[in-house]
Amino acid sequence: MEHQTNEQTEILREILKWIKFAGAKEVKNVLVSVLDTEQKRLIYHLSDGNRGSLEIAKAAGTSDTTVRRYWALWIRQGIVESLRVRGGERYKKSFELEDFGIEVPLPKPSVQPSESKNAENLNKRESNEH
Amino acid sequence: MSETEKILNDIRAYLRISAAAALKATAANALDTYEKALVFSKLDGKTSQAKIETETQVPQKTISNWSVGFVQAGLVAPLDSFNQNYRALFTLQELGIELGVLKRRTKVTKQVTQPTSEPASSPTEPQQSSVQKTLEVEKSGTSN
Repeated sequence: MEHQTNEQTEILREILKWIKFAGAKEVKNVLVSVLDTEQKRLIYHLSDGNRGSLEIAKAAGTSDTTVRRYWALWIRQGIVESLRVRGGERYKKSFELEDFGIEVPLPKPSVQPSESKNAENLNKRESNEH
Repeated sequence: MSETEKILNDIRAYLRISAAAALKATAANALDTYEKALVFSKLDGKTSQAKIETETQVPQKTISNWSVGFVQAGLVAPLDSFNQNYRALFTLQELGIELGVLKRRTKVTKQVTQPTSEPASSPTEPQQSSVQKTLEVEKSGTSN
C-alpha cells in the first residue's frame, strides 16, 4: 500500500515537472504583469503562509490593509492560495519568484527572519551583500 | 498538507494560469458585454439561475443560453454530478477581463401595456421587467 502511494507520488512529481516546464512562460508573464512594483514583489515573496499581514506590512514599509488588499487581488489572479488559520485567513504564494528569474527585493532592515526556506534565502542574500 | 496534496496544488496552480492564458482571446469574445461578464462572475456552482437573475437583472432564459455558450467556450464547467449549477472555471481577473471597461448590452424592448410593480431602475442599471424579459431582442454589438 505504502509502495503504491510512493509510486503515485513519484508519478505526480513527474507530471508536475512537465507542467512546470510547459507553463513557466505564462506564469512568469502573469507574475511580471501583476507584481509590477518592488513593494508588491516583496509582499508576494514574504507571503509564505506563516507570516501575518502585520509582519509583512512592516517588512514592506506599508500598512496591513495594503497587504490584505493585494492578497484579495492576487487570489483572484490565481497566484496565491488561502490558508485558514486561527482567527482568520492567510495567504501563501503559489510560485517562487526566484524560480522565474524575478529578483526579490530586500525587506526593510527591521524584518525578523522566519524559519521558512524563503527567509533562509533572504538571509543568504543579505550575508552575501555584507 | 501531504506531499501528494502539495504536488496536486502546484499542478493546479500551473494549469489554471496556462489554461487562462490560452483562453484569453476566447474569453474576450464570449464575455464581450458587462452583463455577460457579470453573469459569468456569479457562476459559482452553487447559486441558482433564479438568484443570479435577481442579482443581475438578466432574464433566467438568457442566463441559461449564455451559460451553454460559456461551457462550449471552455470557460465554465458543465452540469454534472459534482456541479448542480454552472461553475466558472476562472475568475474574470485570470482571464484579463475588467468589468468596468465593458460596454453594456443594448436591447430593443417592445413595450406592452402590462403594469409592473417594479421600481424604476437607475439609468446605469440594465432595464428589466417581467414583460421585457420575454420580449427582449438583443441588438448586435458595436464595432468589434
